[in-house]
Amino acid sequence: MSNFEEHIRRKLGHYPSEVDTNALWESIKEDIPKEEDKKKRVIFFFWLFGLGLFGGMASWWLYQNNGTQLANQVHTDKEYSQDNPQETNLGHHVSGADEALESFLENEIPFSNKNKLVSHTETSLLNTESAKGNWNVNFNKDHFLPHSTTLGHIPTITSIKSSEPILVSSIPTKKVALASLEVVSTEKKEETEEDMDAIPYLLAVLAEEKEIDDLENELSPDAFEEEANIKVDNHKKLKLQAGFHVTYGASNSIIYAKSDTYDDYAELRRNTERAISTVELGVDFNILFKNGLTMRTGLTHTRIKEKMKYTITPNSIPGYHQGNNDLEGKETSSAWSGSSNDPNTNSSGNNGSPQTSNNPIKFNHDNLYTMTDIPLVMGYQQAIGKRVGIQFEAGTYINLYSSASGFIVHPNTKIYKLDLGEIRSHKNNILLSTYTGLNLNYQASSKLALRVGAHYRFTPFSITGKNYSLNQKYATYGLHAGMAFTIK
Amino acid sequence: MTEHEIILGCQKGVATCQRELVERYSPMLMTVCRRYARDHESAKDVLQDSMIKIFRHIHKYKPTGSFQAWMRRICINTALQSFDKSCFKREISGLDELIAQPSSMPDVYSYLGAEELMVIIDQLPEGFKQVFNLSVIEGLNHREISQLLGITESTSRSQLVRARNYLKKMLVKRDRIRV
Repeated sequence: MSNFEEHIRRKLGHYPSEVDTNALWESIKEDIPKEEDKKKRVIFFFWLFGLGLFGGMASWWLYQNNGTQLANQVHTDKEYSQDNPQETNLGHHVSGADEALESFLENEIPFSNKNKLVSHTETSLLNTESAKGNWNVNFNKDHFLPHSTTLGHIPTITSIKSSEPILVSSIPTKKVALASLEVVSTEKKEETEEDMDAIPYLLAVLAEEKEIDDLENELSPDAFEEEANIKVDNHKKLKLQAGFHVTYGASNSIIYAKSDTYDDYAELRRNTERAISTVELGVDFNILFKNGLTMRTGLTHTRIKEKMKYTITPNSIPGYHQGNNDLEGKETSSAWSGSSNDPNTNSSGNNGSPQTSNNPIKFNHDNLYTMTDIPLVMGYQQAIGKRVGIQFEAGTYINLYSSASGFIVHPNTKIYKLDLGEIRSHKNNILLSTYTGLNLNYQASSKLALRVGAHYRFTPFSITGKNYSLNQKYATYGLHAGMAFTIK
Repeated sequence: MTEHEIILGCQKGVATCQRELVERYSPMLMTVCRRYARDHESAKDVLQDSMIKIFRHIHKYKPTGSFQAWMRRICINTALQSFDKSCFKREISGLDELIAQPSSMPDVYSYLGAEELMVIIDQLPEGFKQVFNLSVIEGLNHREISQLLGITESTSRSQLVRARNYLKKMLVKRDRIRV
């Protein structure tokens, strides 16, 4: 630093500039925190702290009280059983309170971890010292068996009364019910998740007026696990399914002319008697989300069969010129037959000579269209029972390939083969279809789901090629059935 | 009232002590604000904001360091908050010829008074002025300046060189003395 810079520093370092301090004070004094403000802030935080302390202590007291009530409740149950030795509907004659209860706990009531019933021999919570303490017990109504619908959601053990069917003490009454107790330690929060899983909870599974055999079956671990998984929407995050479906239905084709010239012919084609049926086979991959949303993809193959019954008077067709049409040509010989005098004549096994007059020509033949698609369908499933869900689906079918065989008649009576060839009357790809469906899903077992439903599928793009004068779009509708297996 | 009493009073929110602080230190702080602000009006705004910050944070002040330096730093930080850093790029163009000049400053200008120096420094381009103030008057090194202004140390160095050359040019223009 030069002397000049040192000079600047010395001169300006503490040089006072002119300031109107009164104006400055007036402008800032309102924004300066005052002593009273500080006091108010201190008081506020003091009260906040006090309130928090009070809330914490109250919570702690309530928490402690719940634990005590649980312990008391357990002991009350024991005493109740002690005084009422009776034969249970499980077929055990109970002679003493503790003996009866312990017998029941050890032999009849399965204990489980979380959703899974593991074994009868698992340590009984109510038989161990660990039950006596600050346990917070919640009912988990998801574990109720289907015929137990009386309990509803009971958040804590404090709401249990001796008359409630949840109680173990209801064993001797023969009025039995189902419940589960999910035990969560409130004193051992530092425990690992595995430790928490190891804490058993009681499943007091009984049934009203049930046969003992049935009851025992239900009480078996395997049966219970099966039962727990059998719900149509019983999956934690998502469920993956693989399966297949079969569809049978009718179709309707929408026919109109690509230009006004062929309107009459389009009308003629629309009035052509025909029957269209559809068969679809599909392989499905379903994803079912917990919130009810579903996704479906896979591969489908659809066959649309078009049974045509033509009655054509050649001269009535616009553009037709006698002697200049393929109705009389050789290439039609396999399809054309009959005579104007025989309306029942059809092409089957008859390769008769083509007509050369203006008399109506009648003939039958089948066209076959196929489509191979990838469905991309979203849906929503609402459980309407334990096993049954209703599902709405909508989406698109991406067409990979389509084909056609048969023929179609052009206005000038020229016959176009539908097969892909030089003429290309049929497109080999119809891009996509729209799909809507309504399904009824039935969870037959924990793994198997069945599906029936109705659907409507529309192909908005014409299946006909550029060289053909009519647009032809297909809508198929029908019923479908399928099954799917849970793979995850 | 001693400085210590003023500080304690302000920490307790005593109005008379706060008023005394304003009376005693605002002229000195105004000089700081003037050096960093674009103009006088901006300097007044910076001073006002700085004083409010000083009162709000005075309870954090530890008497281990200089109280005046602490207040000066608040003023500088407040002034630099509205400082447009893009001026460093703008000022580089068109001033390159100044870099070639020697940066040693003649000592013969020591007769210049504070107000004259203030006027001269105020004429420095914005980026030069900030770096020059922070380096020469506040005594910060380039690392501290770079952190304060959000620029690189090399930019800080080049800005200081340019500021010195620019200052020299201006002094020559005053034609008080031939260099």
